[in-house]
Amino acid sequence: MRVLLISLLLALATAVGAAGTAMQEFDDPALRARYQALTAQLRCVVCLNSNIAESGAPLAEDMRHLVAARIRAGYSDAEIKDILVERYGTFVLYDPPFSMATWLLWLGPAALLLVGLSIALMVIYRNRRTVAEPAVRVDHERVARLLEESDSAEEHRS
Amino acid sequence: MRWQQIVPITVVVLLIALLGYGLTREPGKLPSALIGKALPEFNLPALDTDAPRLTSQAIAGQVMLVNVWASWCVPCRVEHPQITRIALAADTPIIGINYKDTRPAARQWLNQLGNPFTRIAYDEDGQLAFDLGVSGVPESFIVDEDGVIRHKIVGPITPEIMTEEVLPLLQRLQQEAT
Repeated sequence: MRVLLISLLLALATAVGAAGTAMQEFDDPALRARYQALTAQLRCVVCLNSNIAESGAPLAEDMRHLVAARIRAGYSDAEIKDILVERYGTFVLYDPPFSMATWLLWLGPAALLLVGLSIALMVIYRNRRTVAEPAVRVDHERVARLLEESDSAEEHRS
Repeated sequence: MRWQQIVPITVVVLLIALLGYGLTREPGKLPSALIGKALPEFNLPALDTDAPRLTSQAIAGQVMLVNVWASWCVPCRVEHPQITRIALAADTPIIGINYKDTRPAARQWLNQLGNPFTRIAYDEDGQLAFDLGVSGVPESFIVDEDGVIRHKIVGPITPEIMTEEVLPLLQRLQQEAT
């Protein structure tokens, strides 16, 4: 009974979610493609990490309406993004421009990769040097002396 | 300890410090894009159907608090006593933006809790709220004499925010203006 209830609620939840993200209607397939691309690149500002195409939040719905209306009115993608950035800041873009606030975001991964690579190279270089050195330092004088001793011992026996 | 041991420990400690600092931040709070910019132009009907329309020109030229609210918004109810206290304490108008509401519900809310607003615009489809970059209600803006947005409060104005941010800034702006 409980399982049935839970699955029913889940089904209802998906239905509600789907209703929230109802597609805007476009006759022109080119406009529809632009709409889909744009809404996928714009962040829903109230839902922490989902784009406005997928979000069921009322504000995302408003933003989708706005994007659709501006596309129909002949605005370019850049102009539509500018309108949203003016109001919500670059936070609204999933592909934020390089700036004072975002340099760490853009350069961080590359910097971390460089640090990792240099550590890896250091470790490899160090290991190669230790392998090149003999595991046991050979005391040539002592070897010669021991050999001599054993030779003389053998001579002595014979 | 050899440096080979010290380095990883230092890195881990720094990482923990960084992540711990991250926990104290609120990622849901947007840095406002509108601070330092002019209040957007608007022309909206008043909540009171008998009152004249509210325009940006009509309210320009004075220090004010602009408060976006709705009768269906629970935190607005929490915030209401502070708005009332600001109305009494500060000598500045409070402009209410009634956001995606219905007139009867908004009126009933004001009758029940009191009306601290100097004037209220009725933003039925949320156009002005969108121009203000509002992501939820309540949100409040402190506007200076030149019509420039100087401060934004996301979420309800708590008693602390009121005494530490809102009232001092309103007072300072008022002094600058005179």
